[in-house]
Amino acid sequence: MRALIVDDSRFTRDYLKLLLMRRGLDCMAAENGAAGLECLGCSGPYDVALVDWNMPVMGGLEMVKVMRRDPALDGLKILMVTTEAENGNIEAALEAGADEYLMKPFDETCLIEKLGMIGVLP
Amino acid sequence: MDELTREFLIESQEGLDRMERCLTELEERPQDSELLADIFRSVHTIKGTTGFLGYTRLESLSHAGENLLGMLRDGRLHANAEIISTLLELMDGLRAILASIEAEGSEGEGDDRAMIERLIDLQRSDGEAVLPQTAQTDAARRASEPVDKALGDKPPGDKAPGDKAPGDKAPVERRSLHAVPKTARAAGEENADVENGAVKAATSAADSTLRVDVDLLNRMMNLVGELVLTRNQILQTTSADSGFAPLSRRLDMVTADLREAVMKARMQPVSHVFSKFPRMVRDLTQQLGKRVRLEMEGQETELDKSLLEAIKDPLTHSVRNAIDHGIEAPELRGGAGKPAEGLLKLRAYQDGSHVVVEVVDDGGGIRVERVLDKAIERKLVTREKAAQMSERELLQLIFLPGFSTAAAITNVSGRGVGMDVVRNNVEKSGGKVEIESHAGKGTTLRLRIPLTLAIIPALIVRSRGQSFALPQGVLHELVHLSADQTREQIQWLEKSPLYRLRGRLLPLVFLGRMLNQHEAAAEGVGCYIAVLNADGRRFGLVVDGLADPEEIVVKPLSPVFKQIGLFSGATVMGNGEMALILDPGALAVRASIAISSEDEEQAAEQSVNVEKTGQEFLLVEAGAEQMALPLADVLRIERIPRGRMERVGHTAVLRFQGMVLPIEDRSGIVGQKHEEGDEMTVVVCRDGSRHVGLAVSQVLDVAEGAALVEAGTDVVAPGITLLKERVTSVVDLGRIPALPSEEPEATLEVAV
Repeated sequence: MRALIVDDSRFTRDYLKLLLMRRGLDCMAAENGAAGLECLGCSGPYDVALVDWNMPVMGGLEMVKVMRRDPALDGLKILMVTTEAENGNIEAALEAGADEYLMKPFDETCLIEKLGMIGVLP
Repeated sequence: MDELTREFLIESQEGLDRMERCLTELEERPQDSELLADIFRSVHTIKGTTGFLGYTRLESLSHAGENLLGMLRDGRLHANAEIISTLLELMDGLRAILASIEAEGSEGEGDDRAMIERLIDLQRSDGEAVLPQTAQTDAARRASEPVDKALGDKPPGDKAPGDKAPGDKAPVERRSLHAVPKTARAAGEENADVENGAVKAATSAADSTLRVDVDLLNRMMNLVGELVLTRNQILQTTSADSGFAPLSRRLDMVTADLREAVMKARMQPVSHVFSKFPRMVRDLTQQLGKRVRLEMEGQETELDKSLLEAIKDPLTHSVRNAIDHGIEAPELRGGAGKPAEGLLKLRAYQDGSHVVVEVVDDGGGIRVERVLDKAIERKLVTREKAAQMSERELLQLIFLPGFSTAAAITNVSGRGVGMDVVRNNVEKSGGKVEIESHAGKGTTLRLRIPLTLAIIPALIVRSRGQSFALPQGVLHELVHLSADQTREQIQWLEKSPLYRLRGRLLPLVFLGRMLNQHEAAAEGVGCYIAVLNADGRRFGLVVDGLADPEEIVVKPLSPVFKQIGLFSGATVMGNGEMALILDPGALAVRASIAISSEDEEQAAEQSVNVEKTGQEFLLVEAGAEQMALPLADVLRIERIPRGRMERVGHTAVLRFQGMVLPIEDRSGIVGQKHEEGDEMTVVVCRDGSRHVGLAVSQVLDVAEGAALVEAGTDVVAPGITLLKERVTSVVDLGRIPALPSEEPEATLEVAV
């Protein structure tokens, strides 16, 4: 299983990476939507993308839209990562094609549960 | 502290630094949506990450800030001075908590309610009703379960303790709770994101940088230093072996490249230091009721990390000084015909192997008389000594310990810490401080810092069999004197040795004498003069011999050697021998070499650069007129008491070394009013077999003149020459009238 982490916070990227690697996932990280798309293009395929909402250059919503327009990324699961201040955006994310969302701050159980819901983890 | 917490601290601090920069810019452009988005994101990120670690104070503070910033970003609220000030305070509060986490591992005690309330009040200040946020309750709920417990080394599948805490239910609960319709704000952001994405996607790339511990870099630097030493030794031992030569050349090149690469890794742009000044200037000007515009230039200039650290405090201090003492209050400025808003300029640029950082203000400048009064009052200098000092030297007095000219001691520049501390800090890292000031116009403080420390190019000089390293940076040229020349051309004025270098007198310092090396210099060999310019002091260092220039690795000195005060470090040379590194500035001070004035330096440069083929002249000023005297005819320049002047008829005469000199006095200098003990200058010249004197107001320079040809002819115009770009009349010594009466002594001399 391979995961792409897209978040502008280094801390969050590292934290997610740590939790995912414990579950045996291979991880790649990008600092914004545009960089994330580059990764998808050149180091794919990935099974899941965990995408932050608010990022410079290209935000999460825009990235989700681009990913969903790309037929090459059909099998990719998308987990939107937001904070509670952005809870109004969850709908928009799901509408744009995200499979699930995860609210910051989350703990390990919560993350695993969500990944299980979208079939990335058993 | 675990890796993640450290990461969190670094990232949060970076975010706050960015926020600080943006906030100061926001004052200028309160509507700039990109700025607002940037500031929002900084706080948003802190808020988003702090929850993972269970830092409740940080979370509730950043949450309140985020709400306010969200409204600003969406245009529901407009930034004003009050909001910006509060946000700056919020930033300080967040910083303090981060500092406490870093130092003690916890957020520390503190009551943030007042701050949070103010942030919430400000949200209402535009008159719009805003739903109260639930920051505190949310945060409090989560506080019970810091997530970093889950970060320890646990095998996969092992459940973290407390996993079944509130987090479990929360997602489900929240999903149903917040099915809020899409707001206008989200749509707006979406559009902005599309645009930004299109423009900036090309420049972005996945993480291509790596954070490296400074200690590791330092260690690499040391190792590279050792490698450079080893290389030097290998080069020396293999220089005779032709088979080894290509190999050692390769080693030489690779080492040089490696050295450069490691040094480059330690470089940081000065913007790291500059970035905090907008805020500082803003706070200071408000505090002092002044108006100052800050301009910054050359922020991308790079400097070694440790040097950057080293200049941080001196620079901060200089900026404070400039605002507190330099730039005048707006009323005063208006009176002086200057714009009410002062200008403070920070400028960084690379100049050879140095980086120059300038703090320029257009304030009142430093009044030399006041500096002098203060220095005398504080007994830092005697009145007699001060009388001999040039303006430039007088300015340097402000760098003496215990000097402070502030009329009132303010809590800005404070007391006790003065320019001496600035100079010390900069000099400690091998740099220099220069100050230039024009009364009423402003002051420029110049910090000159070496690009990198640790490895410097140096010339190895020898004195009485010992080797010393002389930093190349101060070296201007080398002059070799044969044994005969050493005897003949080094002149002694009282006890000071001098050498005439292209017509200019160069004070000399004999290294052997200075270091009390008692062994006699080898007989019958010449010497070398290394012409140095250290801290504005130009002098020649006389040494016995030279070795090759080398890249030397500067090692700190043991206290015993430091005490001597003439060395700045030690090094191991290519041949394995130790060498002390000379401190040219200290040598000059010890030898009481005066600071050369700016003009002299320029003149020196001109005489080096411009090749002239004409005759050499002594340029003098008599009254308002400048005249040239053929240097070959000038015997002496004498300062004599005016009382020694005598008159024979209408002609002034001077008895001099048993002769009577007729004195040419075109501008009536001899007849000027004077007081007992006044002195005047007389140039004694040879005219054929007789000697004559010229009364002059001052001797200006020695320069080569170029012959002038009369227009349309080949005839060299007599009596004039082109001297320093000016047509100057040459004194015709033959025209100086002989003494009106008999000239007993003169005739006597001729007769003998």
